[in-house]
Amino acid sequence: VEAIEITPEIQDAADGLAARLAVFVSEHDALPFRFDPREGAAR
Amino acid sequence: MSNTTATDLAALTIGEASALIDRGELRPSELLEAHLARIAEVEPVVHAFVEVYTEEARAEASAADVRAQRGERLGPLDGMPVSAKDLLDAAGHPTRAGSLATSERPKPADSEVIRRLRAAGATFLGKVHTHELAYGNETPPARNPWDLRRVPGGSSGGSGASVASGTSLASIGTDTGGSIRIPAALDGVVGLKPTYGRVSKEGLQPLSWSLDTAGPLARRVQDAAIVLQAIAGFDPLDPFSHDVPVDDFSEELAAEIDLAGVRIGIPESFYGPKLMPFVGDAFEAALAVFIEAGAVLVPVEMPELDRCQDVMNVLASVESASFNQVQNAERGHLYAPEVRAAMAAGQATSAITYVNAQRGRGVVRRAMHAAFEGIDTMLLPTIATQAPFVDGGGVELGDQELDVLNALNVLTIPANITGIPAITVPCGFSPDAMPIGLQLWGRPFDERRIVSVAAAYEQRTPWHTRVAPIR
Repeated sequence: VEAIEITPEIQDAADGLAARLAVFVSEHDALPFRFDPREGAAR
Repeated sequence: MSNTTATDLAALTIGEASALIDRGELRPSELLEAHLARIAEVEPVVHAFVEVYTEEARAEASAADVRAQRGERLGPLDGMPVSAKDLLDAAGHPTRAGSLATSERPKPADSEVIRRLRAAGATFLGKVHTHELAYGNETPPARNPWDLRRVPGGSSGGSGASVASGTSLASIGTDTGGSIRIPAALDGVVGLKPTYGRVSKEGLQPLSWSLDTAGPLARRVQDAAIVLQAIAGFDPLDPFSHDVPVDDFSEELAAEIDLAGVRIGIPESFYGPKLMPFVGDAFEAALAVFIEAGAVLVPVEMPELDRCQDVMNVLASVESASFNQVQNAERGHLYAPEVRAAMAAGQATSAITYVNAQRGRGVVRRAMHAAFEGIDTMLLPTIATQAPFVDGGGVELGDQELDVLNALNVLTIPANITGIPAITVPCGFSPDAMPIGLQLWGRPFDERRIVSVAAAYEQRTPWHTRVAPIR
């Protein structure tokens, strides 16, 4: 038995979430998140 | 202080305790011993602490005694007993994050937040419980000091329970979708979620890198401001840290804070349909206080906020499944069922959906920034209901029955999605005598303003003075 099991209910919920977000970003013509080349991690 | 009991001392605020020490009427080691006595008294039923570092705390309090005696106190936090959620590393102790799956190995160094607390002279009492991996709002085994049959909230439930039960003067929590504000509101104390990037996350186990924020829970707004002052500021070792000036967060706190003309946005169409009636009543009474004080209430429309929970659920589950990928495979069987389900949800989410969640986040951020034009702060209830019973199943909100996680964070998530600061203060009690909170949202890095408006409300109301009965 896998420790982390993707059950049909969990997959259905993920698919529903994906569909709602796809509509939301499409309606708002949303851009991808910003990439700033000046930003950099110190380590 | 010869006639003062340990319980009295443990019920002080940071401001009061610090003033007593300044006047030579209280020693930090007396204050610590009062807290240790209070812990011995109430912890058998509250269960806030993972571990109390008694001897380390006594050594720190003794050093604070010497500084106080020499007139060399480091500031108002010097000698104050504080705790932190067990997501933050403390040198010489493991960070278990509320999970059997995490390592028992002691951490070699303090997290930056705990290092800064100690540098400010705080007496570090120990670590308090988190919901497992910070992924939940119930926080077993901790209980709510107002009704021990109920949850303290989460994921910083140990912090809320400890501050409310008088075993810490303040406690550091973390807030990814509301996890500082939710236990603060359910336990009747103050919780301050700073702007994303205001407080270092070095040595903090992530739940969700792009959402996590550390901040204080305390008994008064001023106490929360004092703790934030100690822990805020740029950290080059934290890639998410912002290099912006640190304000004096207590600067606008005065004997009587003027609210005349302060413009407060009210996003009623967002919170209104979600509230239990008793929360709505308490919030309406709070609005009347602001109106009476001369504040100007401005309706705010942000329909984009209704997608925040979807954005949050994708970001948190995917980022958490990424951070914990190896642990999930090797030790995931040790997780509680709801944490396994959350990790599975992250694994079941496509890369396209994760990118869409980040795109959706941008939509919400732009809407929030636009809504702040012409207003100083926004005001809404912190939680739509009261603390649920332990193992009580789902929570009814309006015409829906939701799981505890999604029922309690529905009004707190937008501040995490947009990264803005937020504070919760007590604003009343339910018919079951459980605390209700209101929250204020601010512009990015404008914690000073929400601290000031929250303190003004506190000055005009009695709710913060009630003490949890621990029953």
